[in-house]
Amino acid sequence: MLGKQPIAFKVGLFILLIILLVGVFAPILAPCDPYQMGTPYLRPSAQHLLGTNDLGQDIFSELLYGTRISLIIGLVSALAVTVAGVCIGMLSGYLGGWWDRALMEVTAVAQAIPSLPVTIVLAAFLSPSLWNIIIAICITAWSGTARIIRSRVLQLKELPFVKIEQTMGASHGYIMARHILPNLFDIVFVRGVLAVGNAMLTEASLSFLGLGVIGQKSWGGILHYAFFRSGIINGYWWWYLPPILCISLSVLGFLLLSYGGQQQLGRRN
Amino acid sequence: MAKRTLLGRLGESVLIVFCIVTLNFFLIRFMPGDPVLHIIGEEEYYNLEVHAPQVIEEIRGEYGLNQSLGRQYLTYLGKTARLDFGNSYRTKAPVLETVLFRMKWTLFLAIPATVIAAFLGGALGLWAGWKPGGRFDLAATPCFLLISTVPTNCLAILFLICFAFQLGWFPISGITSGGLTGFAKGLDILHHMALPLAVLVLYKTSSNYMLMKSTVSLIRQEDYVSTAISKGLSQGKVLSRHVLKNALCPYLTSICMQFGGMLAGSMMTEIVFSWKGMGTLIYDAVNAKDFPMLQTCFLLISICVVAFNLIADLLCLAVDPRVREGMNHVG
Repeated sequence: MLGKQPIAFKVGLFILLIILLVGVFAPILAPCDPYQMGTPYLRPSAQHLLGTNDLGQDIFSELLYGTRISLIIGLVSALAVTVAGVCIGMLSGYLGGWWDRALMEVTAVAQAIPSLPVTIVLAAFLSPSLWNIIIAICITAWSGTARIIRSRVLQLKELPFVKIEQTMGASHGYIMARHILPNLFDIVFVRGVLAVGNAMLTEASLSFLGLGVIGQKSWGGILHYAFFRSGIINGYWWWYLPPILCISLSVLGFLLLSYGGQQQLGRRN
Repeated sequence: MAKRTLLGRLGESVLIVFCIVTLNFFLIRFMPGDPVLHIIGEEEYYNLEVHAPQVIEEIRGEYGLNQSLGRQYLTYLGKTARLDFGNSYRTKAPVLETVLFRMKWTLFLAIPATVIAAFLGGALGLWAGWKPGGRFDLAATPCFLLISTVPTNCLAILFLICFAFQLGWFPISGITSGGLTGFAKGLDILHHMALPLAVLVLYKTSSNYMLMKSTVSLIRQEDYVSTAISKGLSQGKVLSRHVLKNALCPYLTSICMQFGGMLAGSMMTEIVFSWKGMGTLIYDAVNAKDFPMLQTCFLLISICVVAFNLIADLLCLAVDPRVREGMNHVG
């Protein structure tokens, strides 16, 4: 099955698989405890592959552990955003009428609210726990997916097989779950994958601003300390460069995966 | 004709701003602890509690905090309508003054960036879209794609390290070195501006390029373009008369929205280069938990976005007669 996929899809999948494995096995792979303090500002050596930070914590281990929080926030947010977007888009498109107008009005409002500022405001007000960060990321991110799902459902519900089901007296819920939803799989996949990348980017920005989950290592957080604790002035490339590479690489991975998925979509239609 | 839809859009814009004001109101009210604490800040609150508890009561009265939630909300709306956003926790100065001052510097950076990127991205996108698969397209598209995968703050940091620290071509941070006047000061500001401007232009150009390229490559396949070419129109004329005219509407809409996102769009870049604009203001407000400042920034950013979305619709209406006629149907 994988052999027929576009090359972008395979490369993306490969990158993400590695990141996922690193995240899952971080405690085994990490040579040190990333919270263990020691001598600060060590250069890379055999003992500390990427040196140590301002508190003397091993940067390589920080990076491995950081994969976890970035991935968890990315995946959970994307799941929430996609489920919300699909539900709202489907209800709005399928039921039409009053439902459609009300839901689309809400979507328009969510789409017009600038997303990064609202996320920052929420993250600043709420206590910075994992769930609050996820809520802050998700609050407006679902609107794009809802729009796209709605327009697809509008096309789908005019197709003969849906009309036949309707005349046969199938309930709305049954038609939506059994016939509309399976036909949305492609779009849901593409949008869902993009959502993971976007959520990880937002999380990296938040923790770069110092609004990340308290007491947890994340890539944006490492970059935050590298930047604000004079890692850059001193030219400690082993401190600031790895998190930049990790964030960019994973975003690239998700982008390639969704791009590949989209190509597949285009080919089939 | 299109008046009804326009009124609808106007109503929607008002609704959005209203939602944001409401969100701001509830954020303060539903946070744990005394709301007065969040209005004047922790330090001031504990100070007043010991030395002048009656002042706290006065503030409570001013914001109507003893009354029902509905009354409090009305008081808040009134204050917002009078542009009274309270004082900063940190500087004790009225928030609005500080925000407007910082906004000036953000605009000073963002307006040139948006304008330059609009022309640059549009021109390059037109070129690549007109000859898809050509040498330029193959060279430029992967570059711009790559840029868009690197987060803004990361690219800004890389620029800072490369051009300011390693090569020493540009100053490291800030807006001006100080102690200069007149022409020299202007030059100095431009020198400080070069790197953040370059980062912003790069990002905006790459997104403009992608949009223009995909629009033009779609239009290129249209029958009227083949007709124009086959009836012997020069390439320049086909481009300006037929392609550009049709590609302009989505492009202008997108540029207009970029203007709307200007106030917050350069935040990461500003923070990395310590450009004292709204982005750094937000960063400082976040770290000092300066809520009135943060909320005012948020409100102004949103108003800017909403206003330019509306302008984008109007612009599209003015440029494209099809939209003018069809708005009632599409609505």
